[in-house]
Amino acid sequence: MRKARKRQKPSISRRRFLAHAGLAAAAAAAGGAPGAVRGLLAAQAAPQSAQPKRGGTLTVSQSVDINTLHPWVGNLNVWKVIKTGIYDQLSYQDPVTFQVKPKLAKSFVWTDNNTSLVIALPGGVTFHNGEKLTAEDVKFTIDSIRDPRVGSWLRGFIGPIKEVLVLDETHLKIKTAAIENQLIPAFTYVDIVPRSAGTDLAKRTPIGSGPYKFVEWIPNDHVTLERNPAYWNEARAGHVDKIVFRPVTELQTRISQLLAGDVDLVYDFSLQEVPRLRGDTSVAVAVVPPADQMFVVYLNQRRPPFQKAEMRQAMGWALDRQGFIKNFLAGLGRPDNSPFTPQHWAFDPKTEDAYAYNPDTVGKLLEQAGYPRGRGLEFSFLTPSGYPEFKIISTLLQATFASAGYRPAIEEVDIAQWAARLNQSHDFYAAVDYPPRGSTDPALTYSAGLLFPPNPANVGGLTPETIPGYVDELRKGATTLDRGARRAAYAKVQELWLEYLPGPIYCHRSTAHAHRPRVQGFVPHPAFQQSFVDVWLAS
Amino acid sequence: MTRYLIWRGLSVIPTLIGITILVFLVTYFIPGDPARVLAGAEAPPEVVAGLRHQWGLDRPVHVRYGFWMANIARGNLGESYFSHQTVLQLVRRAFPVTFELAMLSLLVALLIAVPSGIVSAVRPRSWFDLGATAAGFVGLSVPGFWLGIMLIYLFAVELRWLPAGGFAPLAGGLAHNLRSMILPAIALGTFASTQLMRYLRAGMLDVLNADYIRTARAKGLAAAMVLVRHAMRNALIPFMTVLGVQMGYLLGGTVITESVFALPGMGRLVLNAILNRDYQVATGIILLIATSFVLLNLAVDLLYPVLDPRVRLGRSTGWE
Repeated sequence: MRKARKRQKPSISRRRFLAHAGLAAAAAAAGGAPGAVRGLLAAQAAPQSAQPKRGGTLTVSQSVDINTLHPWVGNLNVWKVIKTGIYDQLSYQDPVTFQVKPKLAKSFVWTDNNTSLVIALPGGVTFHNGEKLTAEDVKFTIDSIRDPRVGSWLRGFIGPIKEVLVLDETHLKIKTAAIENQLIPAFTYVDIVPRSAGTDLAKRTPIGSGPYKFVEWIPNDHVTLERNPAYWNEARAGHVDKIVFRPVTELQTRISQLLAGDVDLVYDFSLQEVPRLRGDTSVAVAVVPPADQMFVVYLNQRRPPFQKAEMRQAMGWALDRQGFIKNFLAGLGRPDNSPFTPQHWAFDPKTEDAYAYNPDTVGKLLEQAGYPRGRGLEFSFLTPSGYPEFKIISTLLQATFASAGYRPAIEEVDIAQWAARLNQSHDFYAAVDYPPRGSTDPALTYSAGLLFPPNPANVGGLTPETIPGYVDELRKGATTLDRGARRAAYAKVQELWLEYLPGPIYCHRSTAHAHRPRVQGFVPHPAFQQSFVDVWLAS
Repeated sequence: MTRYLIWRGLSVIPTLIGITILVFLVTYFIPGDPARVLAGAEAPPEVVAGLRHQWGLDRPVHVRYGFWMANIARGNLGESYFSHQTVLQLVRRAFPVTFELAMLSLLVALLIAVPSGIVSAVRPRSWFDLGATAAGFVGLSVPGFWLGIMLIYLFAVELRWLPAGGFAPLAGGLAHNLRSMILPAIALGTFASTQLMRYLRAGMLDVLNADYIRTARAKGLAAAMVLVRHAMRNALIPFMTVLGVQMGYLLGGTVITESVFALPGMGRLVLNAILNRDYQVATGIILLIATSFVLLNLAVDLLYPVLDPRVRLGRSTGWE
């Protein structure tokens, strides 16, 4: 984790200053060096930044407003950032190591010949309304998400669950057909609610058991949380009394608010602003290394021309990844052909040079596909407005294909229309996106989302028959605990992917956040499952 | 006169019915799906279908329109698919912000437009007139968002005199509230003033060249008296029309200014509703805005007889 640190002036009160001045005078009288006082000041300033302080209000600026209060239905990143503090989840992804660890759960154990996952819960956990959290609440939560009538996007994440059994107040058993490695990482998204709340949660005040309680949502203005003084886990209780999340859509206003001191933290902003803010000593910039979000292009294989492997491969050779990262991501990205980066255990080094920028190869592949100099070719890029990086990649790809003889159009529509055309009507040829989950367990990466799983949700129309052997290798990796076997299975998956290339992966991108120097202990999360419990405000 | 008032009042009804049909159809035909927006791209198809059924989006268009109109007749403009707050609740919160912004912007606009418009008309082709006209063109040409960002940069980031955006409610104190509204009011008012100034100048120039003004001057009336009592009153008629349109425009919410200054007003509310395909909120608010626009114009029309006796006597309109 690379985190920009700015030199800060040590804060000192008038009383302390006079005390130090007295000490300095005494040291000078005793013939001591002034450096002794500087050392004392430094020594006293250091613990101030190390000792978290309780209290204060943290104001966080986000790029858009939330659109629901439903924990399992809302899928915006801005809502994930807020609700992670309101609810407890059974597990969490460590923001530094990216490993998935127990959070509310005390342990996860596979039993019954690896067809059951036993989850142990701590005792003494209460919801914000005072109700006791038990295994019944966890069962209710998981069963509700599995119910299609609830409308949760997480339903596919926990698809392998067959049944949830309550063993006692603090233990439950999840029945599956085999070990399912996607489940524990999927539980990082599952917010536990009291069963008394029912499933119509969008109409209710959010009640969780997390370190922060929901106070209010004023649409287009703010969401307020307050510290939960009765949080069950003392070690993970929050420091700041109140967190106010403000939606500010205009990027320059967000940055101005930070520079003017009107907000404490600007959460997730354009990477192109990073160099400018790094040059400003009044703010600190925190950058998450490129690992989770990856730029890909969905290719619709239900219609020509991307039914042909040569056309898909041409798309793989068409982007100048280095140029894009350098010029449009402020260098804060990494060219990749795999969903994983080298820090990840499933990363296969053979993928590194599988595809690179080569316009000549694009031209040759067009010819092999039966479109010499682009004759007879017809496709376009569909991009959503408000996502400039998608349009930039589409434009770079357009330029490469133009140099090979065919200039595809770029059609820009609003995000709702874009999503409907990608996921419902499938009325598109090619579309750039940056799906998440490159940093989590590969079982979840490949089981959920829009690019990899060969199921009806796959945007490009990938079916189990498209790539022979692909599904078998995915299942091997998802259903064993043997790390070596898993690594081999996912290496094969990546190899098959690059051979058939249903959707080129171009690079990973960082995410950037900036805050005032008084904000201490902020560690950004790669997947927006942000915890603010370690954050505290210095004087 | 009475016939005019009745006719003008009744003419609003078919206009409003037409608006409901238009608003409903426009939002109906916008491609996109609120269920997909809420559930997200990764939601399985059966989940999206379930949400569509729950919200009645799988019903035929005429059935949905019928339900919507029946609800409107009962005073129910609908409820957001997303926040589950009623349209009236959302409007109750957003409208005061927009109303305050509109009033303050109008004040800024009038403070700029009225004196400069009058002086420009009284001294046409003078340095002041040329300067005001040039400034007007600049004001019309400068994009609102750019002016807003520049104001924020100067007064919030550099000088630290005012906040860089966000709304402080009146409940937190008048001074605090006004501090949060000064920059947006200047940004919006400056733009509005250019149009008003040009209309006032043109109206005044027309009137100042009229025979009755020459007569008034020939009778020896003081210049100020001629200007205020005779010229301005008549020049105000076209000015009032533009002012009414501007008011409607400002009260409908100004998306760009509200977005730049992060104000939770009507403009952002309706923009978010459209982007999320929150049909109930979008149609409800657009209907309210259109209705207020129609009623404002009605009010302006009804003000004409007060300003222009010829309307009252039916000489120029033929209504009596």
